Amino acid sequence: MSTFGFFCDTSACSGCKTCQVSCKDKNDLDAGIRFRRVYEVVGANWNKTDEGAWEHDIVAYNLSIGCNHCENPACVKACPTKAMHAELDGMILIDPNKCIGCRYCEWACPYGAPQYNKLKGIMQKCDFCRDYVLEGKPPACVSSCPMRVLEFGPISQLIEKHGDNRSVYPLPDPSITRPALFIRKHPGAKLAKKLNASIINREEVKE
Amino acid sequence: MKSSEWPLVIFSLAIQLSAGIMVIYDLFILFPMYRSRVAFPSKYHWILLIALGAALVGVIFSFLHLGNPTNAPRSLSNIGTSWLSREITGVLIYSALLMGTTILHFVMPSAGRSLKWLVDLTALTGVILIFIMSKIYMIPARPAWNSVFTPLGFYMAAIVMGASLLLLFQINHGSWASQKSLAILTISIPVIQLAILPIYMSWLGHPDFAGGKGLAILLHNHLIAFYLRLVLYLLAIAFGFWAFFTIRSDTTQNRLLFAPALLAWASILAAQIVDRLLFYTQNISPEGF
Amino acid sequence: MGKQNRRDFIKKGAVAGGVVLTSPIWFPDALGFSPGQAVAPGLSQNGWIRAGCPAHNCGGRCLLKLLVKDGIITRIETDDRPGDTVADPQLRACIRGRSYRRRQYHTDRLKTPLVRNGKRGEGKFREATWDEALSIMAAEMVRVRSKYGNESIFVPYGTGSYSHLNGRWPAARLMNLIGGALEYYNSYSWACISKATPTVYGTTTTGNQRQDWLNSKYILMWGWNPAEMRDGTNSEFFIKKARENGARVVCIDPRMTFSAVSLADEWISIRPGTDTAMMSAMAYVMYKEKLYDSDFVRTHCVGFDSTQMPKGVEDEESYVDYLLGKFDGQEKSPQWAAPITGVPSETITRIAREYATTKPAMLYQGYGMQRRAYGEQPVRGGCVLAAITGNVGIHGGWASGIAHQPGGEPFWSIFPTGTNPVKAKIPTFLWSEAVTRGTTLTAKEGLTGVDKLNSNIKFIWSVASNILMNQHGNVNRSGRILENESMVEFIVVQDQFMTASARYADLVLPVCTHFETWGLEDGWKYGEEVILMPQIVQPLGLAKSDYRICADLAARLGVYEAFTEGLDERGWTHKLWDEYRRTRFPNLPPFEQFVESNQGVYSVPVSDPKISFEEFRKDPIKHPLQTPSGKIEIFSKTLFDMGMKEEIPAVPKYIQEWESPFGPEAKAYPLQAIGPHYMARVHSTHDNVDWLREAFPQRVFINPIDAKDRKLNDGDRVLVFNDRGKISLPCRVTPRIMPGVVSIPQGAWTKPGPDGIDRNGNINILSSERWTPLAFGNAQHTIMVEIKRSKN
Repeated sequence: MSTFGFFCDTSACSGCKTCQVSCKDKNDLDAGIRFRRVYEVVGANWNKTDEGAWEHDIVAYNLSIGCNHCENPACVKACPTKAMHAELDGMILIDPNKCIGCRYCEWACPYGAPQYNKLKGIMQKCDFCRDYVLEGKPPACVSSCPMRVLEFGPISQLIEKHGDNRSVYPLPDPSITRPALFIRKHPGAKLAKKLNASIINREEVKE
Repeated sequence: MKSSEWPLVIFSLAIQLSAGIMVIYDLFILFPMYRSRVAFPSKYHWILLIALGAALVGVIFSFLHLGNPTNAPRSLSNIGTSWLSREITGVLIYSALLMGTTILHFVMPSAGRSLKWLVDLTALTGVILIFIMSKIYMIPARPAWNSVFTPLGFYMAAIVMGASLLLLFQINHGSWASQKSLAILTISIPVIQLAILPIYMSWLGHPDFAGGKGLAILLHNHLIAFYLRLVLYLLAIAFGFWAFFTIRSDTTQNRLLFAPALLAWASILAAQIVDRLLFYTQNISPEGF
Repeated sequence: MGKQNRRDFIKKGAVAGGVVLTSPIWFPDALGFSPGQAVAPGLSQNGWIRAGCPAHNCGGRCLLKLLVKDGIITRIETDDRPGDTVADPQLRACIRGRSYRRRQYHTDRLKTPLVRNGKRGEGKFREATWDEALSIMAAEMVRVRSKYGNESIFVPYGTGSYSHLNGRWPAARLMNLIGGALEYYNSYSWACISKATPTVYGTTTTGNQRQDWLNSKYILMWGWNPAEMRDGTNSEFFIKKARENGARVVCIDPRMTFSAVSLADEWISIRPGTDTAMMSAMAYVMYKEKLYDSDFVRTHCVGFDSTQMPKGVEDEESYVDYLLGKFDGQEKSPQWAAPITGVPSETITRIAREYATTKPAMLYQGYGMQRRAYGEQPVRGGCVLAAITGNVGIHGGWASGIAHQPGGEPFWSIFPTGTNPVKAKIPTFLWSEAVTRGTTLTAKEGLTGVDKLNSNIKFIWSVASNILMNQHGNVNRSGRILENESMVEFIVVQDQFMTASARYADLVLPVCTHFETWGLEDGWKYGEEVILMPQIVQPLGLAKSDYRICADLAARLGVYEAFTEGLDERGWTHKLWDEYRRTRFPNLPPFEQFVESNQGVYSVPVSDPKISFEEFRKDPIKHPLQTPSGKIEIFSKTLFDMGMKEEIPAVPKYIQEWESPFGPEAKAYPLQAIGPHYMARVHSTHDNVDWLREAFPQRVFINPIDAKDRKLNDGDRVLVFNDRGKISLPCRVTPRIMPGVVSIPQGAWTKPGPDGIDRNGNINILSSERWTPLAFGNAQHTIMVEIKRSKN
């Protein structure tokens, strides 16, 4: 049962990754560990015209994703030690004293949220900047966004403001985990599947 | 082949080898003897020791997989929802049963019927354990794993590794009939695996399932391993046939069986290692998350 | 963290993130920081301190909040002032500012002066004391000055630091106190646009305040990428708001940029260097279909058609003559432009109609297309389109051109540098010419102030600059020039890291970061704010501010008092602050009060944005422009009189570039390579920051069609090469760049291997030192290359 959520306006995210780095700064994360990742979705066909010009039907947009603190969290279910757990307020946290670094949550999460810290041998992930939230401040990523496309708040509030849409191509079916992630769809998203669009910046979002 | 999953490859194969040995031992060696009321075969102590050794190797490598093994005992604390927790519990129970069985074998070889029940129980635990192991991988976030192919693959690996190994160890002891049946298993499992492969691949490549990405990874990034596995299967089948036709009712000729049985076992083990490495390359979120 | 109980866990919350710093790369301990070093006076020792984001000449000027603990910056946040309105938006820092700790505490920071003890460029140095280093520098300066004269000393263009007290301005001040140095004009950023805009409008103040963008109904982002280059903090945010207000946004660019993805309704891919062809075809459509604002053209412009040609050139080629091909026999129709630009003719026609008929409309020109062979042309072409559609001097419109802000643009730097006794000025891009053949330079190469130079450049003092071996065209050539010790006899580089340029220095002086000294900043091109940059931590090692280095040198040259006026960095900041109070912001609080308040930024809300040319629009007779005709010069008689109509035409024309896909050079090198600004860097600053490298690795971006022709897969390491050099880097295969074009983000540090191949992907290994005809500007984006798979 999650009570807080993120909102991401994919129609206006530039992909600048200020959110990713402000998060890394807040959490002191070395390169290779990304609590927040920005996925670049691109699909297109290019054709040369009879005039010798170029035509394209490109669709491109970005998805900024941290941890969605799902209402039905696959990671919590999978964790053998209960290190990964839901707080009463719905935030999904990792107890570093219990984690054995088996990385099973990494497999179980359809969003790539849990990150393995090699040096410490345990998993880490976005905690909604719980300390900030308890102080009444937004998470570091949200207040960093130069385009103001990220929001944080109680789920009910986000739904009221933006509607209950929790997916955009190619995010997994939200019925799997009920993510507390609300999305404004990029206008091109409806063509993305037909264009066989895919995430093309793998080296930027995975090790 | 580069893989960060070597500890898991060894862990899962070792546990499956151990369980496979126990199942084959139970069904194809103990069961016929039991029915024919032959005295309990003390000469098969070694089989149990090998099964136990494999299980222990598995347990050790499961630790190597962990980032923070000092907390390992905590992994038993979420049996309620975590298949991984269940697996670790299962491995411990299985290993304990196997150890008990082995000790009894050595200490009370005359225990007879009760020992048989203990072996039955251990083998059954092994069968359940393999199912639990496969459930770990059957998660929506990893669609290329989330199918019946995963338990099927694990069970076939267990059976063929157990059968081929016992064929080798039975050279001087086994009956003509059991040798023949183990050889048939050694041949038929790779044949089935080969037969299933196209079905599996078309499923992997189907856009509605693994988004086609699984197949692409297999054929683009790991083509050499893919072919290597095919060759190893074919070799295993060939050596299996060689072994099959070498088996004589005259047990004095059994030494002829050694070479083909050893080659069959070696190629099967190699095939399963490559197979398992390829299995872990399917650790993909098809969308790329 | 071992014995944390559950309650603590819940209370602290951020356990998953509350991680001990682990990386050996940057942990402050590894740098010899001793905890407990006091922060600057007037500020609390521990806690959040607001400061300007270190300005390395990105287009933004943002506010940071830094958490300081025991003399170390432990966290960086950004502007959190409540409100965040369009009139007075938060100055949110981008990824570069937010990753600053990885730069501040990078183990490669220079900590001590270094004296070369190998061959020049070899990279061998020995540590020296400040006393020794500055004695050497002073002695060399005096020697060169007495042997060759002040004209032989050059402080090159460099934009690595903009805080008044860090950067090249103190060096300029010192030089001016001791007889001066060879001066430059122009920049690597805006050479053509700053020269060409006044040929149309008589001024560079052609923009509107950005809040006015919300009044626009149609925005053409022509080669403009504010989301990535940050052309003013919040520019991308204002466009987003304009869009929410109903503006349609179209991006014309060879790349589908961050801005195209997040701000545009449509992306039109155009072949680099052909913008003026598309502009001409659009004007052609507007003329043919009578969509242009004929009243405005008649009353406010000259040279559009033969009826309004200036005196004495009545029979020369007017703009319409050019469009109709009256002189060259070629109509500049969309069908003509399509194969040149790669834009389908229907698209050109449609965009022409949309831009001409949607009122008011903006055509915002980016700066990349003017760093090209004939970079003056698209600047003039864009201005002409804005003029003939009547989008000049109205709310929601945009006159195009360089578009400085009306009503007083930011000061950039007001640190008083004094007057240069040396009158000679060279175009900044021609410094390497002044090194190799300075005494032969004439007005034809842009030399001004004197007829000829008395000496080649013999002494280079490079402050906050990576021009020498990284950012100038044709780096391999620069290397050959600089390693010859008989040409430039002494090179000093002041920097924070051992850059490629520093490697070619005889003396390297370590400079502190902006967080380690005092300073100010006040916007780049836009913005109504001044931001304080207080010293919040002690300098690293022996590093000093550029100001302090210059002051110490001034002492050795006998001008300490004149240089410092008795002020330290804080004192100067105070003095400059008072200058802002006196001139730009009368309501600015007093300095000490502002420092004490820890407010960081003073901003003036803009609810009634000013626009350029408002009065000229109303009455062009009473309020003429500063052009010779007093009107918008579509035909420039000044340019005509230069008599170089092939390269400097009097009306904006498409001219095939000297390296082009249509030239014979395309046979060996068929791909156009462009070097855009990168999210991971500000020019060459930040290239060594791991968080930025992780987010945006250096790559060459190539279309799948070109990749397929070369059998390249995404991520393959490739060799990019032409006659000038070779670089090796991974490729990103992406449909977000048009076929025939590759992009290699500019600014990667030159790192040549033993085989001479640069393995870090500096595009300037491939770029050219050839300059543009009118502005003598850099044309570094005009290059052709080939790509093949590389083994290493």
